[in-house]
Amino acid sequence: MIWGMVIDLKLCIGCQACSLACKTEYGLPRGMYWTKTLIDEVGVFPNVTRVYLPQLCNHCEEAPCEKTCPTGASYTDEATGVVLVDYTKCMGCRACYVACPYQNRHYMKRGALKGYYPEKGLTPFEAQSYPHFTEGTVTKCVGCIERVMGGLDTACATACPTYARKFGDLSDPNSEIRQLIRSRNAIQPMAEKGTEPKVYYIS
Amino acid sequence: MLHKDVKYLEANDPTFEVGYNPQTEWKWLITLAFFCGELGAGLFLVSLFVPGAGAKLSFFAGLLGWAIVSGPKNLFHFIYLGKPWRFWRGLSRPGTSWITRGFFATFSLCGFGFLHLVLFYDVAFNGAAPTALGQLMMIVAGIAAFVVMIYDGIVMTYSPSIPLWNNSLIPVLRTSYALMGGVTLTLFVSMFPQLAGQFTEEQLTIWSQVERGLVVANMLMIVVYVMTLTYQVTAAKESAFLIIRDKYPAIFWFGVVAIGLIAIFLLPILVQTESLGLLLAVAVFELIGDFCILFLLLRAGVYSPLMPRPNIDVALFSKA
Repeated sequence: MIWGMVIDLKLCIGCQACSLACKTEYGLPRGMYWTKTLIDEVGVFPNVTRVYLPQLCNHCEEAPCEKTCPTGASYTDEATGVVLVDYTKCMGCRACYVACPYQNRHYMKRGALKGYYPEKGLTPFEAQSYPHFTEGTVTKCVGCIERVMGGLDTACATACPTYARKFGDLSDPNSEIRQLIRSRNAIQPMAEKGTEPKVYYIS
Repeated sequence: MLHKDVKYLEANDPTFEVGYNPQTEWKWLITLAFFCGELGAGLFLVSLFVPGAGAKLSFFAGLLGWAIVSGPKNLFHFIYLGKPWRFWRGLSRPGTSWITRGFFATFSLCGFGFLHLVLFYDVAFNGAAPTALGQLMMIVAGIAAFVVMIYDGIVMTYSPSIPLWNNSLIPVLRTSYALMGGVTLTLFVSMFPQLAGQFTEEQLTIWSQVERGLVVANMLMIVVYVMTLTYQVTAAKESAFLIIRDKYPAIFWFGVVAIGLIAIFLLPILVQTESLGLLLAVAVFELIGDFCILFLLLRAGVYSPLMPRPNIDVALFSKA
């Protein structure tokens, strides 16, 4: 299968359930969000509206982060098309960080894994999840690859109360997301950058 | 203007807002590493072109250039890395990564440059004839120096995320500045009493003219570069206005333009006499200007906003 996601901008209400589900699933440290919903206010009073843009790693087909990585730490999983980071290889040069047009790379600074209450040590939840990370390396959304390989949807798609996020198989022409891409004229974010993202937006 | 409708987000702003996010990861250490790399490589490369009678000058200028690359550049890169002792992994991807290619070039310059200097010592101080091996080391080290000069500009150009960097003028501009730094420092080193007389009057005039030519070229490139930024996407326009007006005008107008270009062009014309003091002033001004432009390129870079700001009047869609 090829990992893909369609996000319906008409349905998103900006509740950030996806952000919290991702943080909970992976135990991300303070201030780090692998996915989030951007909020913008447009218009002039009294004609003002809010727009929401759920945003996550697009697991691009032509990922600039992977091309620029000098160590090979950034790579694409052959089975799913998900772009991953091998923390044992990453040297923390942050070339991928500046290369990503979607700003979806996150640097694990030294001291980031001290926990939410550093004076009291790690909570049991933090103690369970933090060992998966390495300070001094770059992290990113992993596409919930373990959940996906186990037949589940991504954590963010599962948590979305309005079903704005739909996860599926881009290689299956009859999958729900492929049908949505065809019927709702889906667009890719910043397609002009030539990254060929696997996340599509419909509205 | 449209770019002003979108907010410039300071580095400590919440990450859920839409706006121009400044590039915040490549800051002081990378600026210093790139600066030392370009300056040292430029000086080393220029030293290879010093005429034969100036062998001692060529040796000392080359040694200084090699030392700047081998020492400070590598040190700043090493300190910057999140996992410094994994630096050797940076040699893994020469096929796609310009950073890997830059690493290869830097290590090649350190190694072959050292061998060149060792073999050239006899030529410079004992009047020995250059050997074939020495010539080969010189050529390989020269090529490595050129790649070190240009690769960080290409790394920046290669990035599609920051419109300020995604410009083909950047490698040319950085290479030109590196050469200007090399020529300026070579002229400065030539004035030391132990090395005085290494240049004839005519050669000194030619090198000074080369320096002035590079100043004019850099001036033109900066004018064209900043001007064309304002014709590009809104993020590039925002970067241009950050540089010339909003956030960094002092560094640009004073550091880059006044000191880094105009002063080093006019000083030799006004002072007339070549002296150690004049060349010291020119060298210091050139280093300030070079550092300032690199600082601005790295700090004024902003990412394109993730959400396009609609340039329509939403009032048109309201009910009467």
